Amino acid sequence: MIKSLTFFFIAFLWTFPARSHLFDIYEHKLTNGITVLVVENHKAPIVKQMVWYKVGAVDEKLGKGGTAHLLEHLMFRGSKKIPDGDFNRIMQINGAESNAFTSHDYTAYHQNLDISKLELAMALEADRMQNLDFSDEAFLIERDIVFQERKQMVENNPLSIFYETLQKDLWQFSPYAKPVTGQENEILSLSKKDVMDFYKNYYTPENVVIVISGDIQAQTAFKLAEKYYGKIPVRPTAKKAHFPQINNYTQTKLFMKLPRAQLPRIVRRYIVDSYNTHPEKIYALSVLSAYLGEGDTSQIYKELVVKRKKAIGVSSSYDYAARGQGTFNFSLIPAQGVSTEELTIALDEAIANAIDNINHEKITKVKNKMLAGLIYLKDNPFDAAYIVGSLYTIGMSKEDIQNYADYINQVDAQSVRQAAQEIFTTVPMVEGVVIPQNNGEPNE
Amino acid sequence: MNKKFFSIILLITVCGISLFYVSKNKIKVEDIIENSELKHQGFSMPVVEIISPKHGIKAYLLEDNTNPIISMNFLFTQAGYALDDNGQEGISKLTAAIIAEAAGEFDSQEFKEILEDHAISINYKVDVDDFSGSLLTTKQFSSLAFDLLKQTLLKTRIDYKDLKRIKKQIYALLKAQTENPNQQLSLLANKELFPNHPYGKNPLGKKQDIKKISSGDIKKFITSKLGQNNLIVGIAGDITVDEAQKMLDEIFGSLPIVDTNNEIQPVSPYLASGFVHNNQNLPQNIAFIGANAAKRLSKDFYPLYIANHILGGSGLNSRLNQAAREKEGLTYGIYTGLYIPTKTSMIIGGFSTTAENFNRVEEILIDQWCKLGKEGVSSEELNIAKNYLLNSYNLRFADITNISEMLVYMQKENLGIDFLQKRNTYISDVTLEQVNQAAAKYFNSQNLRLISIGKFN
Repeated sequence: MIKSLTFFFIAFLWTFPARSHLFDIYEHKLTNGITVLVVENHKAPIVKQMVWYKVGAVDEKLGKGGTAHLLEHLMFRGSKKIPDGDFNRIMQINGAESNAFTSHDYTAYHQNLDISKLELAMALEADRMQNLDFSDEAFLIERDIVFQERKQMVENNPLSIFYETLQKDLWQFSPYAKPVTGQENEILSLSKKDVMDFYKNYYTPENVVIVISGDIQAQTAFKLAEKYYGKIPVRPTAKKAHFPQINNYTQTKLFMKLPRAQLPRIVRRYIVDSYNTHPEKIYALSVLSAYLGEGDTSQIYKELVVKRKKAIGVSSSYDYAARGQGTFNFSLIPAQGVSTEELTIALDEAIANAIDNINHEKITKVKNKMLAGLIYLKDNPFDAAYIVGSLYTIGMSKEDIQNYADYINQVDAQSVRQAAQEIFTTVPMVEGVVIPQNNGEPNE
Repeated sequence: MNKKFFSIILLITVCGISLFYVSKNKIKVEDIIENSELKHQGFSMPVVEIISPKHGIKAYLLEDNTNPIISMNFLFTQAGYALDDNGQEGISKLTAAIIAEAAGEFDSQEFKEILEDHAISINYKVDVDDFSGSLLTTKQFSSLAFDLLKQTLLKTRIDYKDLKRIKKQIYALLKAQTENPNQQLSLLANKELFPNHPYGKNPLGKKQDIKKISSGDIKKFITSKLGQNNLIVGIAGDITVDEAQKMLDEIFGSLPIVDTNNEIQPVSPYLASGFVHNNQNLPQNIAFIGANAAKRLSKDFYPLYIANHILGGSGLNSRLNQAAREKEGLTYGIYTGLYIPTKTSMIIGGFSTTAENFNRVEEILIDQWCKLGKEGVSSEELNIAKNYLLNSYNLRFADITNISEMLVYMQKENLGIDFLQKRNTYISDVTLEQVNQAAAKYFNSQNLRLISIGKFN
């Protein structure tokens, strides 16, 4: 009886309405080249400001790994107008949650605030965009802090050496091969000049995207952005990273036995198209990833975890939001008693089967699943700022962000099949296997 | 939610503290705020208590029609992992992992597909005290969502193959605990601080116990622990009082009355036997801070909350972060916070630092901890802390799921239905004397224990 009720719902299956925007984004360009994006959300009198710089670890010079990240830290260490420590103190007094992050492709600074404090945050961001000034002492302390950060966030994780090596093997001579934090010896050899050069070369108006998301009218936000950011002088931007093609025949295998690891893992990564290399291809690849391994109803999860019991965990993901190429990933944890060799063979079989079984009905189902939850994204203004900012900063147009649901809807079975065939035959990939060093332990 | 102008107290304190900056910075902080085009607004948060007509199930409801979505959080008290029976340690975690795996006539795959197709999410989890669930749905599919949720509770379906698979996944989590230094530290701290109390248990349970748990045991857990008399519900979003009341009857009305006389004993963390330095070969040492704190409804709570914020609360301005991070660059971060489960109340915290810095950071921690107790805080520090706590208050309303969680928390801790309106007054009313009294009581060398792993000399 309940079943029939459910079938009733399925018959009228609702998806994120076609032609409905993921977000309504308002876009405005200041005369100095700064882009301002606004997403209105009037549920509470709060706002998130994010200042995105289209520069990250990929733009660092050889041997200077960690520059972008250290600069991100030093941006909190004072300007010509704000002494060291005051940025954080002013934000704190005014109830802001303020932080920043660095990735390969970009660097972002952000504040969650009461709407009445937005102008203050704009004034402070505009100031450090052009007046950064920190002491030699602050520089050395902050360099020690990022050294400790790498120890904490990367090296204390028993698997980080595996993932960093995997990244290096996959990307070879691409700037994506190196870790965002830089290596320890690189961090400790960075100079104040390295960081200030990076700042002058890249923190230029044309590299800046400001996202304001929350309880504000777009026109008001534009006016305020003009007031605080509009007078920042134009400066030339230095040459940015080049993303070389990786040879298609490169298929690397990595095997590690790690002393602190307790569970074996298998990871596969493929270099594929991103929004920047082939914008029209990303939707089929997204559907393919959802179809193959996103969630407990996906094809290879069902096959390897539920049916054949070869793995206790399986997932896939696809990252198209990159300035260079994108990646398509699988990660798996073998079931007890299943060797990593056995599981990789089973994975290949499961992928091949899943591709053979692609049909209109299955792809429609996957697309519905992907689109159904998008409405929740309209709830939290802080999440919206992050999504819009990260996509726009890597080069996605406002229209393409807004119309994401439409593009997913347009994907058909044939294009998913084609995307799969391309990935699994002709792109560079790495397969990494890690097993615990003390693998001979008793079974239970 | 309707907006309206909020308490004037807030504006006065903001202006008061901003004066301090006007002379110091070339950026005129006060002027910018004063002349800001966007003024501070409070907004009404009309939480109502509703009672279902048939079964008298109570809930807090906050209606918000901004988006056509509904979030509900609910918890069952005295069903947390600390209360797992001996020989069945891990049953609450296992139940939480499997209760929404399948339901009624739907096997696991069918059930998950229906949820996914309609963007409904149903999740259960367990903490030390309570067993809790959450539902997120669009208004359009809310009837279906309520029905599916009800089935997880009343037509629980445990297929043998699912149970076997989920047990294996939990065994893997148990293994993963041993490779993750933070989890290792947390397990060690549980044991050290609660050596003879169920709070010292591993949240995942014991492998030998989990192995023996049958689907019958899980069903018994559900019928004996998830009742309408130990239930707390919070609802937020696009749902009317009428609709919510009907839903409460429908979902929770048929739950049994369960035995709530199996409470565990109140406990204080065991601080007596000195600091623990457990040698392990790690790239960086990590430490857990534990101490006694005030109960949630004690008069010391808000004073201690503020004192803690000044010592090690959020942001880099805390005394500990200033001393250990910003001035000496010894750590990426050091923090403290209040952790108040049902049967104890604690100040907890932590830091990570390489072995050669460890003694220095430990020394800074002890110094700052005791100094706060002995000397208290200045009125300027108090103002800064209050301003942060008051001004950041509205940020918690960004997410509907947060709101429904807050509604549950308000009821669980007996904070009153007007808590959201009154909370800022509770903060602004705290005096310097109260903060310093609480600081003296809690921040002293007798009330501090450090448990750490890494390389020690």
